Amino acid sequence: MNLSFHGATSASAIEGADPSPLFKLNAVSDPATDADYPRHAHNEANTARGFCHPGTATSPRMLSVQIRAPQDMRITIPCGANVGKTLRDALAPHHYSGAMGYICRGSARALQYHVIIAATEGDRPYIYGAPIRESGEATFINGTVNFGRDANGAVLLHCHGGYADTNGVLHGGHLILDETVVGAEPLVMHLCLFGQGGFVQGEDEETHYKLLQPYAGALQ
Amino acid sequence: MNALSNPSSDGLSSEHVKLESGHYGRVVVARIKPNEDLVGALEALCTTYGMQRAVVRGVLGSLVDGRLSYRAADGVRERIIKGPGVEILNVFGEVTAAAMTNSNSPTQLNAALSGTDGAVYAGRLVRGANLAFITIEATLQEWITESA
Repeated sequence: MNLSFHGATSASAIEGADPSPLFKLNAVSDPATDADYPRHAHNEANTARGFCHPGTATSPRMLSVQIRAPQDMRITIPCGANVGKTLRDALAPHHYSGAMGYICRGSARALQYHVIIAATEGDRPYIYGAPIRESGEATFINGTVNFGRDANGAVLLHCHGGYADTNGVLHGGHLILDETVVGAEPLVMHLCLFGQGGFVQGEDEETHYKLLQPYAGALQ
Repeated sequence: MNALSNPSSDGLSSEHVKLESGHYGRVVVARIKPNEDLVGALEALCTTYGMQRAVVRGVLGSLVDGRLSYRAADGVRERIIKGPGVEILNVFGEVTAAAMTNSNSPTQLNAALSGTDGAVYAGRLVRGANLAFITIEATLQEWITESA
């Protein structure tokens, strides 16, 4: 896992996201079911619930930066290759401050992902759960990746993606590209490299996570 | 922008077909903080940078709850994906600056989400109902329409 989401609880916790006493949901009404319902049955303005994190909310509520010298690229990663390592190695010769990309096609013969679960300890009410590993052929249906930097300039890969398993069942979550091995179909991704500007990891006062934050600088 | 004047082969009028020529412009990245609505935040991002329209290059992050809509035989229906911690796998679509949301092409974004059990859902993001949970990272690229 490349972002600093620490800790894990038992796999059984994945089954239910019971609210932890450590957090407070600001629910006007609980949109509790997964059942579909007519739009007119709900007042949109009243049903979206917020979440109160353990830290102080800071303004502005959105941080942004304009990217300088973006460069579009396409990469094909061959069967058997580790996706994370291949991406880092292939882009290393390019002087880029950050990048983003998305999965166009391909499959994996091994991958690992995480879903968010309620924490049982610590001051973070929700954490990433134990790894969920797919050992059968996984056909990618989508995926988005950000290439951030840590404080030392090392590349951090943050990827969310979805795939179909060998029974056609869809799965998705926080995908660990360093644990993802390309399967029978080469993996094709479109990338946008940033000449200047991007995301750098930093402490977030509100959530108490280290998160990728926009920054305007260039790689030194 | 050109309005095509030739009638289409199916007999429908093509007067309202608009074919735009243009090009992609600036790239902007953003982090959206907790409890901010995804659609509204992306519109505000366009406004901040003076971009009338932008395409989504990539969005990932998490939502308190996800709410997606789709058209059914009996009208528009919605599906709630209960969180907290619904993951955004990707988002497709174009964003119109907040000041232009009363135009003929308001922002409509489609997304693939995964629930806390890893199940995958897709549909249209309901405005005001997809609030950031821990963080959302977004990349937009400006679409610049060229004059006819």
